[in-house]
Amino acid sequence: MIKRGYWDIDDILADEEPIMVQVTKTIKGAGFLNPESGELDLNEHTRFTIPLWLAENMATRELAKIELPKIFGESYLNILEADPRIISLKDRSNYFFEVATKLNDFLQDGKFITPLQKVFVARFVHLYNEITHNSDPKIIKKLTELERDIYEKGMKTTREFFDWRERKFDIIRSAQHVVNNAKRFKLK
Amino acid sequence: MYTEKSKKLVRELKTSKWLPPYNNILINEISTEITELHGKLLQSLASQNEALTVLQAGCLNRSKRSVLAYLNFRASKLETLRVENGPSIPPHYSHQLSGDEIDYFRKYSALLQEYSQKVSSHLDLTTDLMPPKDLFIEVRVKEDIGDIVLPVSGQVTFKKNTSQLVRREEVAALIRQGVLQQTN
Amino acid sequence: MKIQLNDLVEVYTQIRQDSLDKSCSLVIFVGGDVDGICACKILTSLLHNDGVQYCIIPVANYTELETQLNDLTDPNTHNIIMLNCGGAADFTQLIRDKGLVCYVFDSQRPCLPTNIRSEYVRVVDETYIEEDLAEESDQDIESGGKRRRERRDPDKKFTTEPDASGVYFGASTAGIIYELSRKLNRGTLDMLWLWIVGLTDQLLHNKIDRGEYEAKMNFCVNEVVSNPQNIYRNPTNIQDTEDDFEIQSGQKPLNSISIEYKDLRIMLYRHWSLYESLYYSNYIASKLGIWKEPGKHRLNEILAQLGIPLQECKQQYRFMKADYKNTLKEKLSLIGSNYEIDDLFLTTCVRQYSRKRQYCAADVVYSISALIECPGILEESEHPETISLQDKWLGNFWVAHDALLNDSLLEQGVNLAIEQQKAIIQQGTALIDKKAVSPASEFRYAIINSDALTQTKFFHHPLALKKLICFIMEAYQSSRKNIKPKPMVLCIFNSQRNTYFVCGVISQMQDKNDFGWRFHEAAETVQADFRRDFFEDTYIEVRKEHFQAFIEQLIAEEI
Repeated sequence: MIKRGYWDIDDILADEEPIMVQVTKTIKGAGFLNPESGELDLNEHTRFTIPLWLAENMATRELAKIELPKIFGESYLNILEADPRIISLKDRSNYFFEVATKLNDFLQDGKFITPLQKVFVARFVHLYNEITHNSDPKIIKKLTELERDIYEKGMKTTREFFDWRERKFDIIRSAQHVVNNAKRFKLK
Repeated sequence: MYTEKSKKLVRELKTSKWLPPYNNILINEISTEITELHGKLLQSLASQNEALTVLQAGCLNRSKRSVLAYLNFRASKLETLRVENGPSIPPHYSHQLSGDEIDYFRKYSALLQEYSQKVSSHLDLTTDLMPPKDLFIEVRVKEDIGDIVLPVSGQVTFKKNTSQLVRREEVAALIRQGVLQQTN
Repeated sequence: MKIQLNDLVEVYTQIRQDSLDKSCSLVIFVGGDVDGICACKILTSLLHNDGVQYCIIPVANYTELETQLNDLTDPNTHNIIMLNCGGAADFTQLIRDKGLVCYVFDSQRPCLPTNIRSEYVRVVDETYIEEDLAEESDQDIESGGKRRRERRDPDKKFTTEPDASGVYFGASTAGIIYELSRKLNRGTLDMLWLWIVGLTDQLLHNKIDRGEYEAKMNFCVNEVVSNPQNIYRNPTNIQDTEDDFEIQSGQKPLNSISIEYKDLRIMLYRHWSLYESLYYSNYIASKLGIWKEPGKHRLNEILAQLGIPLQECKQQYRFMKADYKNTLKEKLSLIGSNYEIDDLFLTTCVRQYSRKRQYCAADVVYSISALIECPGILEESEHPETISLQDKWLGNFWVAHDALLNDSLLEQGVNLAIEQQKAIIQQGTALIDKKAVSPASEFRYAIINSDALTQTKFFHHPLALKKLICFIMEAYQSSRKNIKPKPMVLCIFNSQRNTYFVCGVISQMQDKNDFGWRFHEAAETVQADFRRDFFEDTYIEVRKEHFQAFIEQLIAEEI
């Protein structure tokens, strides 16, 4: 099992994505994994959801079988391909692409990854246009963590570029925490 | 499920702009949980229940990873704070930190200063790395801090809502702290 | 001491000399009007390039100015400059005690004689020496008994009355500072533009009349044409000819200044729709009598005769078809005479602020003064109650200061100005309709008793109130052509402070505005509690309880 970025908070949170698994071997005493069943043991053929990290763990030891989540299934992929830019990926999962990458590495099943690559590229292009033309910050609501990160970095870079163009590159900026805490003056 | 608490701990980090208050209680709970789980692990190892051992070890390592990542994240934020803001912690931030973290900050600060001294005695390594274009800059005073003694300019009064032309190198720290704001 | 324009370079060199090796040897006080802010910007860019360390302190009235002067504790400070403030109040004692030298650039005339005589206060004036001596001796004789230098009650009046004949305005401060920069051979395009804006501000706020404006504008035009930076950026098309009616709405090179000899005198039309701009401009609204139905019909008729469909007029001017725009000026001038709108054109300059927007000088003036005047526009997102009125005003001041050369802030200012103008027209027409304007023998007056209406919040600032009065005066002037235009006084109630704020404006016929002195006398006679420390002399603030007596005394004095 490859641990990507042990210290990375986003990696940890991506790993928490709920995945449906089917148990292939009965495990005594492992009932704590499925608290709703109330049983002491984990019985074969039980289907329930566990976090991704645990699912990968169990699957490598052939204790359970991972079912591909709906969001990477045929019907959803079709919806996505129809118009990748409008869909709110955050509703599906906050770590959509990271989970997809991990599952792909694990399942070695390339079918769902190719269309997702196209979706990512399309969304990225759209995001880039939004950044450079300074549009509505409400689009953040539809973005996953990764995209939001890209968006923020993009905005910062664009601002710095415009400043550079206007020869304002030697303005000392307040530390980030000051900006966060500053009382905002808005023109009504 | 044993890893619920550690999941909650890591999620907390995303809730605030800088850092949430140090959640001592939760960390203590998680460490009790880990110890408990470790005990159970030894039991299942003794009873040769491989699958269970593996699962329990997985949960244990996961909790450990979460807590360690939490602490590390906070520590790196403190380091950034020191570099950006100078050797003092702003008061509304010190509430968010545990005693150990404040200690860490101080030691890091001392380390940084020692290193700066060794590199050069009159360079401040935490200042702006861009070479300035101008000797003087115009700043707007955001907070009333009264009279300040600056190294080259001597005593200067900063009154709120006025604008002054000052030497760049002297006020860089004040700008970064948000007391002054550079215009033009 | 009076300083002529020729001595300005010397003054500047002296200031530079004094600032060597000192941290903050110069303090600049700026009064809260557009002309002052423009002057401040020009001056600070000169000083910045010379490495003279300065401190800018904005002030709203004389009380504040005195407080700030008292607070100056820095031992390094040696010089003070006052822009559009300080001319009419006596600080000579204070300045002498602190061992400072004060330079006053105040466009309001006349200046207090003590200021002129003092060694420590140097007043900059563009008139000639001989005239000043004559003025001085007259003032000595006349104002002997009226000097009240000793009494300085904080709530009461601040200005002593140097000359009972009233106040008037001289050259714009921005113009004088630009002249300084020109003598130093360091005038830039930005500074020239700021001078033009300062000059236009004086015209639009009724401080100077058209004749003076046109004269000064000629100088501006010469400067624009001969400025090397402008020629470089805008090699063709700097100049239309006098008879050219084409609207130069095409995009010009960035940051260049172009001259429009016949720009339409309707407010903010580039940023609004044509219909609304015509409807809400002071000039058109008052001539046509827009507040009544026949007025509106006349407006629609004009638009029909222009050949522009109503729908086109009501959309944003920028999106109107180019054909309509090109023929607009010509047709308007032809039709105008039928409706008595014959004074439609003004020589002005236009600057391309960004690739999308151009602003003419008048637009900038309206935008910036709206930013200064509208009180509650800056709202802290968390605790609006905790900011004092002072902080709000100062916050506005800096926004306005930054907006002069920043087109996104300017745009916000324009939107505010539009709101304000709508409020002016609504309030003005309401007053006229209700016949709330009563005539006294020599002037008209009106009282606005409640500030509950949303419009009235716009009028708590002196300049905004003045604009309202100007509109009402124009309205009366156009409806009764034979009668000589009368000055007007407007009073508005401020519920937060429990006072009445009174402003007096003269008509075009009079030279000097002596309302300041008349208000003062009336208030003193009835022993009212009043405050008269504004930089412009024509305002007074009277406590509610004494207001009735005050206004009756004011009217009675006329007879």
